[in-house]
Amino acid sequence: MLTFPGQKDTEQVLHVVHRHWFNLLSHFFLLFVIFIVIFGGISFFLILFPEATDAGGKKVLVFVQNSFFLFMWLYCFMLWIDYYFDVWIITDERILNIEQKGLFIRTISEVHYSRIQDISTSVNGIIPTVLNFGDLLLQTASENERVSFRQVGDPNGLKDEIMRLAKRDRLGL
Amino acid sequence: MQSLFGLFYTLLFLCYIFAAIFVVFHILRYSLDRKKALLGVAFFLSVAVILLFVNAILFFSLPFSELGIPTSF
Repeated sequence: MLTFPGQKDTEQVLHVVHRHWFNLLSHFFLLFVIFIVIFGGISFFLILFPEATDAGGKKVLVFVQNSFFLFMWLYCFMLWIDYYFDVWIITDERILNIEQKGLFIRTISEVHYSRIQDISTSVNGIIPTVLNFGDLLLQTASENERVSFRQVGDPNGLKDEIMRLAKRDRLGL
Repeated sequence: MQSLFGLFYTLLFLCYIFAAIFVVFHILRYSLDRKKALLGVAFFLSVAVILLFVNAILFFSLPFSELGIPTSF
């Protein structure tokens, strides 16, 4: 069972929403391209300068490759943390917006259903349309208070669900 | 010169270690599912520790003298 810090005793987690997997994939794809370019460059360098694979040179190359692998491993996990901990928790009482930016910036805000005034969604582009992901914006009673679900899957379905929960809250069910 | 490389490498190695510690901290601290968090940490550390260990061994086996880097100023 999923729980989060600050959860009330009677509060139930209904949905945990992450960004769409394509968002993570696009970041990893960029990393993959860098990986190919660097390792391709090293291979090309070795073809041009075969003498570089002499005892000393080979050790340096292996060290550079290992360092690069290590960097990639850490960076992949940092990307994953940025993706996985950027989360929206929908409970039967409120919506929690937890935003993770890198390793050191984390903001948490919450909106109660009674304060929601307007919900809008936007799906922009070919890939988001095909894979059905986009943004969802919640406007609350306070003018400056907004919650945005960025690049989430099925934003229209999510909008319907939030509207249903808001309606239920208004009726006091 | 070799000691300068050693100093840079020590700094780089410390950065790697701090990054790894922060990754583990985030997974354990903020994960909503404890079981998944432990699995994630085990997966991350199993590879990171091996890579860090091999990296240190490879650095200390670098033949600085063969590479034309003076071992002292």
